[in-house]
Amino acid sequence: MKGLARTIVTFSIPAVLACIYPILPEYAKFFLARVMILSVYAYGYAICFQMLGMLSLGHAALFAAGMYGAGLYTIYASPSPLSALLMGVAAALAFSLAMGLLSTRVGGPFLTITTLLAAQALYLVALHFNEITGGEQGIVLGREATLVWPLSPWLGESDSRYLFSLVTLVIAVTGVWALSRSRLGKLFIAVRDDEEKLESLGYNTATLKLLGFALSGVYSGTAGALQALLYSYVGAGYAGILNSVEPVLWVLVGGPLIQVGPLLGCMLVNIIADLARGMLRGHVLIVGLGLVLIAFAAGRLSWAYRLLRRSTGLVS
Amino acid sequence: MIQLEYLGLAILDGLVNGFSIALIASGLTIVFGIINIVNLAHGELYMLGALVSWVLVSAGLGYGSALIVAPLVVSGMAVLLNMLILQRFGHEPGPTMLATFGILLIIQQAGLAILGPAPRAISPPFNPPVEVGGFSYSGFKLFIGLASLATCLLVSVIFDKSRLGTLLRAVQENRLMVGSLGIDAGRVIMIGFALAGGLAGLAGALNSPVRQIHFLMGFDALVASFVVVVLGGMGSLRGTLTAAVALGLLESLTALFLAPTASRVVSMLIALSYVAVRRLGQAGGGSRS
Amino acid sequence: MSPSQILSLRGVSKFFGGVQAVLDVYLDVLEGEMLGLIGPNGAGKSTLAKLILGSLKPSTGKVFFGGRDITGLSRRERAGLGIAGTNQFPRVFSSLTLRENLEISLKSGGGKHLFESVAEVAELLGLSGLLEAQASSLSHGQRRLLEIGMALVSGSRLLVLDEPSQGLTGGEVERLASILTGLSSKRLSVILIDHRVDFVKSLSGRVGVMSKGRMVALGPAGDKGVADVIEEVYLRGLDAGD
Repeated sequence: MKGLARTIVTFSIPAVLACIYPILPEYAKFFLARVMILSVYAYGYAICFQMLGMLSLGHAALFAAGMYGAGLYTIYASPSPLSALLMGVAAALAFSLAMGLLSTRVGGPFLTITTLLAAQALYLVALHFNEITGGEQGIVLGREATLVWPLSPWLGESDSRYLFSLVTLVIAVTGVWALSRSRLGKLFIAVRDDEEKLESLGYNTATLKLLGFALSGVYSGTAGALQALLYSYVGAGYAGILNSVEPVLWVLVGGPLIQVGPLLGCMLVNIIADLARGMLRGHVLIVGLGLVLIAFAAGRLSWAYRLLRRSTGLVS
Repeated sequence: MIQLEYLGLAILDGLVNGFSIALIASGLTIVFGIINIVNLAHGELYMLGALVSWVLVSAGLGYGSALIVAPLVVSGMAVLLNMLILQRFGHEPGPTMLATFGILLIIQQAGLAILGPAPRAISPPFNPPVEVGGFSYSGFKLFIGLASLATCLLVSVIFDKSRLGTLLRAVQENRLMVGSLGIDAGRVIMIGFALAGGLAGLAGALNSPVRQIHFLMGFDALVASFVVVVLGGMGSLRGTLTAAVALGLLESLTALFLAPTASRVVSMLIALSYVAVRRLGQAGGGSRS
Repeated sequence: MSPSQILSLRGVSKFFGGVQAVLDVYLDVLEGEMLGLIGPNGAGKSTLAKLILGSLKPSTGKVFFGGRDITGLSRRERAGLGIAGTNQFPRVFSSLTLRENLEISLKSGGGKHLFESVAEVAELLGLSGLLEAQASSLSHGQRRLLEIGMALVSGSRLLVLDEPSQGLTGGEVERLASILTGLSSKRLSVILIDHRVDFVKSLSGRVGVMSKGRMVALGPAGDKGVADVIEEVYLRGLDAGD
């Protein structure tokens, strides 16, 4: 029964998001569609951080790989959004495998530092080739390259965005729900709890961590690709460090239940940041204050404390 | 074919940059060494040093005052940071890392509010061209390099020889045991933060006349420091200096062929490969813990 | 080497810096036997356990398992061959339930399966009622039993138990003893390291005595000579004041 209750809770938020859709004002539709895409990214980050206990500060690179893979494909190869989506996911998968190979060889704070350096390298590369990537300013994609274009005879732009985001979110939630019940999911958690013990039971934990990074990369890359293909924009800002640290906050704010936490946390943080958007670059300040506050709160939240301890301590 | 003169300039420039990076990174190393945490806000302390210098020089006080006031102010900031926030959760690595990242963003935004979005500049108080081995070089940059090197060596000597250094190293070895010896570990950590802040503030003040003073300059410094501490070994001051000089030389030599961003990417890739090969932080890896 | 030997140590030593933790140990463990290992603190028992399990590599000497040289194999590779162990401080996956802990361990190793199902081993451990409990909520003794259960379902051929009775209540020690006695029908080899001399002697066929890194005696548990060495070692240990 506990499992059933968890399943109901898991799918209740997407169900609510589907039900309230007809009564939403235009701005709320726009805002929630964005948050749903970011939540897919949050789930991807949670697989890496919350399940496997790896505190990456480089996931912006995976998001950006998805975004550039999809966006640049529509500009320089073919304006076909579906193959662009696949290209984006493939690019993120490739980058996550590289980052995963690195992460299986280092531990503790070095994992955080190396992921940060890897992401910063991608960011600088994007700036360096700004004739191709558009650098910080970015590039606006053609309308016919977006996923909403084929639906335009029937649905308005914001409605089709909302629909796409919701469907993607439901797929992402289902994936995490299934993963958390599966043997693989249990093994991921075992890696977080005691990697050495799992190794002593005959498991190859390096492979498990690589797999976790790859899955995380597919999620993050999908979110990035949809960012490009729904909002017809790619820009180096998405590869920046802020986009790497935000999911940490989302996951910690969301709570211990991985099936709903990332979505809940992402919505909460973005709603608060949106309310503060009138302030001078309020969003960044909210994230900064949020991190400090959650650091204080972590002392009282035993799950967050354990998670942070596991992911930042040196292996002795 | 590159002319020999450019090569000489590049080497000199690389050394000066290397010493500057060493000055910034040694604070990161000290803090990591004594409490085993990565202070992600360390780069912002450097930015604050430059910011304070800009404020002072703009207010008509001379650059000389900046060299004294900026390290003191930033040192105070670091102590405050430790006292008000990091100390509250006993320097537990996880919460500390998160909190320092939050502080990074907050200081950055404060920098934006004070400096504005456009980069600021102050002019060097003196800048005689100096003849070095047949070509001329900026006298002020030479001053930066020498001052940075001297400070780094001084800190290194303090660490190795003085009672303070012994205490810092003792806390680094075993915080609990130090407590049982009647030494106040909290105060030693505080001194470590003060030192780290002072060094970052001094680096900011020294570099403010030759760099663009911008609210994002701290993060670049943090990334460079990470490359250095990864290559030089966390917690080792001598390793930091060596690695910083190597990084400075590498970046200025590759900058002869590549754009500056590309040469930074090259050095980051070298650091990443080194980390992977040495398996840092893993059981049996080369980390000091 | 006769086929009935499952594990052989040939002149195994381990030095940490200049300290000799284990010195020139020769040891054969037979298939299906329970071998006890006793000795005072710092005698090198735990280090020897780690050398067998593969979490430490010997400085000199060789380790054979089933006739094969496994000296260079990692902890994981040895687990794959069927060498399982428990730790001085029990290590289980605290976020998972007891059932999930056992399920993960099931079939992970390379040997034959001693137990058909998770339920069967939980019954043996006396933890059937706690299968759905999270491991972090278990008592020290329950974690200890769980870790032994995990080793038992992992398809092991050799089980190395490092101080299994440490921190257990009287009832739990009895439960442990009955579990270990029950294993004798399973053709599993067990190395039982414990500081409770009587506990080890009552369960083991043969007993090895370690002192200052050396194996100073090895023989049947009831043997008079072994008993004398045990007495001497413990007395000497006390005299030395450690």
